[in-house]
Amino acid sequence: MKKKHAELAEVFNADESMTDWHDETLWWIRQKRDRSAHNIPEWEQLRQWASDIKAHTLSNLDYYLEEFERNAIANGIKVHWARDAAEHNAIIAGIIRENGVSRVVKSKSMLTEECHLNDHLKDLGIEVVDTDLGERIVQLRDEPPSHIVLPAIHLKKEEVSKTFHQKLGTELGNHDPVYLTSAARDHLRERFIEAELAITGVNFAVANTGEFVVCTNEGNADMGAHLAKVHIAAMGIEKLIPSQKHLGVFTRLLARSATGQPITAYTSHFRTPARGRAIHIVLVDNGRSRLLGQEDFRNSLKCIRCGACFNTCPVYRRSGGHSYHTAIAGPIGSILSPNLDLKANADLPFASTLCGSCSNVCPVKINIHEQLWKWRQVIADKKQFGLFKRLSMRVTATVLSSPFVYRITGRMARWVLRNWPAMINRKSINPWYKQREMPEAPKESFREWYVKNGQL
Amino acid sequence: MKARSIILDKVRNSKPSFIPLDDIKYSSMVCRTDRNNWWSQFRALAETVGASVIRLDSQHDFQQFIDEYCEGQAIVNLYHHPDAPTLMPLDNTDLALIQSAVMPAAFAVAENGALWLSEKQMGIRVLPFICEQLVLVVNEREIVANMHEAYERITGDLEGFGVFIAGPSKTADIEQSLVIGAHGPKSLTVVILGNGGSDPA
Ligand code: SF4
Repeated sequence: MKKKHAELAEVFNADESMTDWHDETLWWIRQKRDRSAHNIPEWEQLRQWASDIKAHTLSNLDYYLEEFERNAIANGIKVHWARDAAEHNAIIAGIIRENGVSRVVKSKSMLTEECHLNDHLKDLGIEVVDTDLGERIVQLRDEPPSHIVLPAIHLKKEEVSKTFHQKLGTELGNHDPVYLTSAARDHLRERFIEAELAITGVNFAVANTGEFVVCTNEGNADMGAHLAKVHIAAMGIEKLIPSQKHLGVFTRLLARSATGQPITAYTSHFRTPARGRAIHIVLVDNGRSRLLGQEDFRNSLKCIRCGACFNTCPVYRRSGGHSYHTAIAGPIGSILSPNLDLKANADLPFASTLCGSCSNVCPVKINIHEQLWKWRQVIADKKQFGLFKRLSMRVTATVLSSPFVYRITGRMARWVLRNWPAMINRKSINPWYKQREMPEAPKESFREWYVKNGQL
Repeated sequence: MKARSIILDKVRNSKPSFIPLDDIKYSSMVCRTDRNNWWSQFRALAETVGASVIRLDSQHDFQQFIDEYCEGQAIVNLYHHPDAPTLMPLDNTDLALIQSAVMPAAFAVAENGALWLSEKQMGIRVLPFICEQLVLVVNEREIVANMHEAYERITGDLEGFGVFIAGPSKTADIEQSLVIGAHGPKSLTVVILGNGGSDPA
């Protein structure tokens, strides 16, 4: 059986200083996001507009998909449709084969991660080079990205240096990020210049013009797409917006929410292929239409993948992206993944404190924490829990529904905590105490205190 | 085609009832940008995102700047020679040797320091990305307040490719240390042509 979030988080937590660093770095990015958002007086208005535009688009998605397709074809773009990950992979492999290509460059696309495209192409003997620096680092280490915006955020520079030394022949022990980045630049430039085919993701697709927008800081999507003869863009069907003027709202929100930058270094608008070149776009469903049909979870399709909910999440920050064992980690991933495979991902909606911080930072106002709570109910109904959790939930229900039992249990618990703490403090019995200190038990309950002092 | 109709049917059957969308009234926004001061706001933001900004007041100053800046380098200057790319037989390997590229930007955005270039201005799509140093030239009058105004200017522009560029290529993927010059230019210089710059008359 696949390891669950709690077990994997434990692995991550084993290195305490690393966990602290991860936590602090992401919190620092969250603070940059706050400063950036506070510079825009109309920020809340923008969030509302973004949410409204997405709600409208989703309510008319079939129309906008057809409108986009029509305009894209008129622009000379070839449009493909994929029901699921397997079709997405097959279509892309087909285009690569038709062009007689064996090496491709790829810029960041969480959709291709979701579909496990790299593995598929590798099995067919096609070499894929990820060109986003963070993605290239994790690819050289044979790991998946751990964050949708910061793929290598779980690594320290010493580890990157070791990987580069082994794979790219950089100096042993040179950990300087400038040196390492420049080595990656040289290595990837060669790949760009040779590449005959480039794959990118899509940040936004515009129905009324048939164009699509790709945002990067490194310029790697552009280097690939403009140097190669063929460009394949992979896009989830929820990426659409009705018209070009709506891009104004989203391009103001995206980078500020992601990293606190006022805009990404490159915001590229692809409308037609350059002369003598080809652009293909693959429109992918892979469970999105199912999500659209579920009122409780539909809003998650508004996501623009900024990663703000990751950076603010107290659980993500302390458990690392790999503990979510899916392509999209963090709070939003914990909503999207159960839709793809409920059984395998039933643990994820529980990897949250439900504190609501994710919903507060989300630029498209997704009610993330409420949806996580809703998933827990679905999972409880479907009995996707282990036996221990089911029993303890039943006991909790009994205790909480009877004031008498509740009082007695409380008194017993305080007695045990004071006189026999080892009983509870045993981590094997009570996982809550992993990486936590014991509280000191009060002598009396609040109720007892209130009965004595309440009438003062 | 099968996948297409299946997806569209599923979407049609799953979508909620129609939610209308009011026209978005950008003008209703509180806007901190002081219209008289756009260029200094643009400059501040462009510098924040790693560009260097200079202001020149005449064509003569501009020419002098270009001569000094690019001395002895492999340079493509599209500002004075918009046809240059069509005259050069360039393959990817040649393109990678270009050190500096100078090109006009259609306009600049005060709120984020970005400049808009469409295919007309860049000649070859990869040029602003592959050169080592990029120089973008914009007239002082061509600065808009924010991205809403920017898209108003782009609407109707039917070129095949266009890009907002804000600062040089950068990455922070190694321990969040900002490194300039990831794959694209290692520097971006923005030249703002002041009054009289582009048309001395
Ligand atoms: S759910 Fe919201 S905050 Fe999280 S990645 Fe998506 S858009 Fe960003």
